[in-house]
Amino acid sequence: MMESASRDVRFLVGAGIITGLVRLPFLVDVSRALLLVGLLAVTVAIGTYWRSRQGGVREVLDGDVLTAAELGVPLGERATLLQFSSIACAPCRAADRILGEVASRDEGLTHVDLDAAQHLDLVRRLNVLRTPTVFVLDARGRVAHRFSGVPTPAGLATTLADVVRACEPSRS
Amino acid sequence: MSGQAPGGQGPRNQGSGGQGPAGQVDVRGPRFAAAVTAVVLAVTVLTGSVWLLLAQAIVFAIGAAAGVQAAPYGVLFRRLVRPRLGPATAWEDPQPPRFAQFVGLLVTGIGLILAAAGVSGAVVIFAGLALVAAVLNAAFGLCLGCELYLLGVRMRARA
Repeated sequence: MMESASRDVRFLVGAGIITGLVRLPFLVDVSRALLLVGLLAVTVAIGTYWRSRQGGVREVLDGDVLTAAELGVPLGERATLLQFSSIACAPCRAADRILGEVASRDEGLTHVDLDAAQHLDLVRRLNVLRTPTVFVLDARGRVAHRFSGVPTPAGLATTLADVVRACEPSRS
Repeated sequence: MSGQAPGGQGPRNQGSGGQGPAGQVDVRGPRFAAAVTAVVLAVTVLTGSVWLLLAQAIVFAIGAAAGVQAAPYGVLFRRLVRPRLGPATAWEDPQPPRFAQFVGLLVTGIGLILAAAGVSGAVVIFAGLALVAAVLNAAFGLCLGCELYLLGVRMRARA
């Protein structure tokens, strides 16, 4: 019963696809086909460019100093990972998982994930334009690095090492 | 909305995948839906068919209103595709794909309104825009919602 029903469905889908393919050349003119090829080329160009910029890190010179009160949680002893997310953002969930894992392995690290829409004052101050954006704050709460997109584990590790090292001479 | 009870799955499905973490869906579902969407929109660009664009807009509307699992391609995936695949290995929150359905509805809806107003080429142009968004989402994981949502919130708060 199930088998014959699914065979019928398969037959109908197959017949539909073949009929569509046979009729397509009569329905389509060349300019539309060229448009479709052009659209796909543009899509691949945008996608490739966007992907090459994912997880890119930039050093922030003269970064703002943020306090625990502004963040709503105490600063990390050695560094704080400040993440901005939005509700409808799948990469933000991935970033949250990665950063949460990194922070749970190191006691001196704190990870804060803020909803950007609820913290527009900080979003404006730090000029956050997209989510996820991740800032690495040093022990004093100074914004030291900025990641656009989901940070790569390697980039995150070198950045954290930098931030912690830069802070050490002043503490000793 | 579509009248489908969540439990209405075939007997072959039981015990093969089970349920993931609460409220999460098999990641292959939204990807399958995005692939079908891309094919439908590509054929719409080729044929300029206003009916095909209308059908896709209705699919987007159901997905945005009732969630991706209740949308036609989600039902198709559960009924016909998932029973033939292995158990799910990755799960995701259905909220981001649902927002993407809303963005799709917005773009195709504008196309339909302009087409109804007699703007020539509106069907092809807006099906093309929706196609670019669908392929970027399906093939590159770029969700336009993530890029534009925050800018929208910032602008609205300033006004």
